[in-house]
Amino acid sequence: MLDFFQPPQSRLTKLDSRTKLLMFLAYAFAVLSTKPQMHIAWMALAILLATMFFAARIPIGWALKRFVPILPFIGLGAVGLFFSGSRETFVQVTVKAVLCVGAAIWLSATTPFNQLLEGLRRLKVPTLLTTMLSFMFRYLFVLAEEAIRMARAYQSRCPRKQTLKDAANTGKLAGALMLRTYDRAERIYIAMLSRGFDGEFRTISVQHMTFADFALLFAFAGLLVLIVVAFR
Amino acid sequence: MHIPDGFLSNPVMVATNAAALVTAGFAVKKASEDLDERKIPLMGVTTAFVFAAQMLNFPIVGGTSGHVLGGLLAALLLGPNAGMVVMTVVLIVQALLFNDGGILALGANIFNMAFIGSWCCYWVYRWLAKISRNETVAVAVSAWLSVFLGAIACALELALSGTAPLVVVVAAMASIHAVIGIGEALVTVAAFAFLKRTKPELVRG
Repeated sequence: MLDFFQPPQSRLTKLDSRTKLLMFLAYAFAVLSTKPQMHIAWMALAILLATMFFAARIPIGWALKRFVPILPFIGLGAVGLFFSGSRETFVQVTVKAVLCVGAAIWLSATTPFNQLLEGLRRLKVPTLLTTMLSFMFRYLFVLAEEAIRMARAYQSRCPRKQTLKDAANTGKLAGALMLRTYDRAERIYIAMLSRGFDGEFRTISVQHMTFADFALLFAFAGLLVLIVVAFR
Repeated sequence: MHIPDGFLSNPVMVATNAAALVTAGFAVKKASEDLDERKIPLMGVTTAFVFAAQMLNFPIVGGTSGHVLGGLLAALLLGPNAGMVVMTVVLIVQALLFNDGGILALGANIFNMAFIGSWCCYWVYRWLAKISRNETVAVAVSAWLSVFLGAIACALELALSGTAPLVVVVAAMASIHAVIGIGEALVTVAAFAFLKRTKPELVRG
């Protein structure tokens, strides 16, 4: 499971996470501001994205796996198309979704999550949210592995499908997982208290917006505006 | 139910993001006020728990499978405001890390699954528990509603955006999620009863 999160290293990893976060947002905005007939702009945006992927040295297989979550929605669009929807809408929606998800993949591939969190904290996202995010990220793998282990143990003992019973048993599994979680949370809290925790995380910042960050950000934003305006 | 970027039109996107900003902002403010620092680690680990619980799949007819959303369960354990914060955080991580749901569609997803699925359905649960005097029924119905209403809201947003025709998208989402909702109801009832039996002080109700 962990390899899913192991981003490839490149020069882009060293940039400030805010730069990459803002580049990603700018790209998503640019994609969503295009009109249905702007095929050339889409091509240009796709080439730009491909360049970004190339610069970040992202392996194709690693990226492709992450397109899976949008497939049901494209399927739903295709069903709509089959009934009455216009072909133009379907093409537009699919292209935009693929480009935006591509940009999101680029972001997660170039930015380790702890750096992303620091970026969010610096961009003035409420403390409660960033605290929850950092907690969640820290225990995500532990709990997810626990969940997978429990699911496997259950399947090996109850291999037959019995929909209603399965759902009810999943509830008991979820309850057991919750109990384990709670015990862990209590232990963690006591450990944190003994180290002087008072409700707030204090982190040492290692990231700075350098000249390169600003230059890249402005160049990128300029390029996006150029693409969207020139090919309308 | 996680809407990706590109599927919503600009007016719908602006409206849902504004709605999410207001409701999530309110929940974060309220939750920070009520929360003593003791509860912060518990809440953080609960967030991870909801995320992990979403990996427990249960099979539905025809080879498809649904997973728990856990919005109502989170609200039952932590209260409506903290429950909504938990769901919001889960959705942010899914959007940023797993590409499950778009970043500019995040507002719509927060509105559907955190606000409707967790916050609103918690109050439905309270109301049902009062009039029916049967906690299990109240949990079951509001857990089903949390999935069903969220799916309807999602379908309406897609239809309003002109992405898919209204009748088709509402029919498809409603029928699929009516079934998934039954699973969610069973899971939530079982988890709630299990926790109430083994660790009653954990359940806020």
